[in-house]
Amino acid sequence: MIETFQLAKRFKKFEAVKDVTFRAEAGEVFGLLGPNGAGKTTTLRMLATVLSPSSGTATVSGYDIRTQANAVRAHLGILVESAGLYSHSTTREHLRYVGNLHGLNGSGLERRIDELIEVLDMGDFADRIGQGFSRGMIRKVVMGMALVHDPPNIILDEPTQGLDVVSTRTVRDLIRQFKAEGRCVILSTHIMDEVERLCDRVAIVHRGEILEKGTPQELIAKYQADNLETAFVEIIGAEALLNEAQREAEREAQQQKSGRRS
Amino acid sequence: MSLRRVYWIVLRKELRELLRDKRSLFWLFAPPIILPGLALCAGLFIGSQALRIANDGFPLAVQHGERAPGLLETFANEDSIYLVDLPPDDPDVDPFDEALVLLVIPDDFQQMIDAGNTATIRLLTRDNSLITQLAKASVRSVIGRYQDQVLEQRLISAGLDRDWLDPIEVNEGRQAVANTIGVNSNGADGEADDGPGLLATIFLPLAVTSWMIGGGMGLILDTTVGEKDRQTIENLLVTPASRAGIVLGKLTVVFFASVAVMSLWMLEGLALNALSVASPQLLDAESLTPTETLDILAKSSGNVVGLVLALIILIVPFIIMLNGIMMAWSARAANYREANLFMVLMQLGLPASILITIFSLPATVSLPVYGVPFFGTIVAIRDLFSSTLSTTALLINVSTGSLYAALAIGLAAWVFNKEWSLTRGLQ
Repeated sequence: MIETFQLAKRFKKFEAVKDVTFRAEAGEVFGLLGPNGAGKTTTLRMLATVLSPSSGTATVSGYDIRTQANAVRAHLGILVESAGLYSHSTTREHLRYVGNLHGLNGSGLERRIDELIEVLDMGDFADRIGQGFSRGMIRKVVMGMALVHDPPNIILDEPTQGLDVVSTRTVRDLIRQFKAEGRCVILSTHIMDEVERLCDRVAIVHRGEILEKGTPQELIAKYQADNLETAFVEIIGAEALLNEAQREAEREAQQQKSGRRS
Repeated sequence: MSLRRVYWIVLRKELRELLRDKRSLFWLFAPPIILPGLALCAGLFIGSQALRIANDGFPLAVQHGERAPGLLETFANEDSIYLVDLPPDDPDVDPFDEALVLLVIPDDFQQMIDAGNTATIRLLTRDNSLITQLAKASVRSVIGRYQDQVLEQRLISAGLDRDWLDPIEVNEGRQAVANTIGVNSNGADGEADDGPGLLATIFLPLAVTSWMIGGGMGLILDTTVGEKDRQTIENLLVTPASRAGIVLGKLTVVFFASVAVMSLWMLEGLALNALSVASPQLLDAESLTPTETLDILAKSSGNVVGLVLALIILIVPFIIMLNGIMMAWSARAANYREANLFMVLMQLGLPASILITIFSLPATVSLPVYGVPFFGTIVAIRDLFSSTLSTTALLINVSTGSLYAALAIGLAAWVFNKEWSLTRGLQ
């Protein structure tokens, strides 16, 4: 179970996350939705103890992220949106490295690695080094790294990004399996169809605040929409989404410009 | 999980990554292996060419040699010169077809010599190549010897001898300093043998520069800011692994690589130093067996074991300190650009400050100087090579150097543990 209590994060004068409070139960898939820059990733990073909150707190399986960071890390697996791999380590070595850092070793760890390689369909590249992996292959390895210690709570940030149709179905089946196994899953994605299919409840986040919470059906009914995507646009506001898209495009152009300069 | 276990896990992983990374290995080890090899090959090639020509004799053409019979005879008796016959006053013959140097003797040469005046001869060459320069130097040296003969005759005819021209004779020697490391005193008169010379002192800047430019520093960047660049750092941060263990594991791999590279440079420096000290003996000897050559080199190396040991205990804390500072900065840097900026500053600043320290500080400095971070070690190594480093100075430097190394590791671990450094550059 993951629970947040008025969680907030401030970067100098910018308030990235403001008083976010929600509760994701064990055996539940909880969706965190919002446009780019809404504060979703910052919230997830605080839950994973990568960032510390400016105020408020959260618990993961009852452990406080502020005071029991190591216990939180042991009970949580996180698939980071932009995570990469080491160039000269194989898929198997990546999984073993993270497993070792979680205190696992021996035949138990090797069995778990074999299991993940099979479940995530990584057999073809299990013993290849990470250099030259496709985006989809990288996502699979990183997902394996998030799951290697068999955590009861799982955070998935854009888990199907860059995956082909078959791999996407595998990941979705895996999320359903996590739910069936009684794990708590927080899913952050832009694919509304995926949210509708997988999430039991969702929270709509915009500019660091939760604007709405409920099941997808409740939100669709409340905003008299045909689907969750329409309800989402209603909640955030079409103008706000356009502005966000424009800001995002400008940011990307700026990044490309500075990339060319470097 | 214990710090020691995290340390071993990270150490093994970083070592594996390094050993598989051919590009990093090349940049680490290529400069100390390839550069001296290339220099040696170039030296051997030039030396063999020069030796071959010296054995055959440099071809010299003398125009109107009959006007200076004494000088001509001196040239004829010289093994390193080969006199080329020139047909008299034939404008179609180019003397440089066969000769590297042309000497033109004036009409009044012998009259001027006999009258006790200065005779002027012209020495001409066609090009400025190394061989021509060597030929010119050889011709000038023979002229110098003939000039000595003429001078001696003039002194005798004036009722003077050679000592009249050299009223002072200087006898050089080195006074042994008590309780120093790397000194061979010959005992009786308290004089020291020639220890490693100035040549060896340039190997510290070379070694440090090599470490920085040749990949050692790049390795630190790769293991710290590289984690941000590859976006692997978050996978590391979400594990319960001790941050200090991670830093120590990474630092250890970089340390071993740095020590390996610097040791190569140092060994080459010591070998070259022994060669430079032994070269007069080696050149004077008529013929030497390989065993005799090695014996001369070993004797010329001075107290090599003591020197190497002292060098190791001086340089180990020094390397750890530099690596720790670099790691602290790299851990804070948001990306390679930021880290590279600091690296460029180090690449320019460190060798420059080492050279300034070696050549500008006085030969004898007070003991507290050996405790100054960075500079103290440079001065200590300088003094070690010039055989003036006292045991007290060595102890001061090693103890303070170890303290600074521990502080630098602490700084790196502290920065690596801070959210403001680790999250800079996260996407």
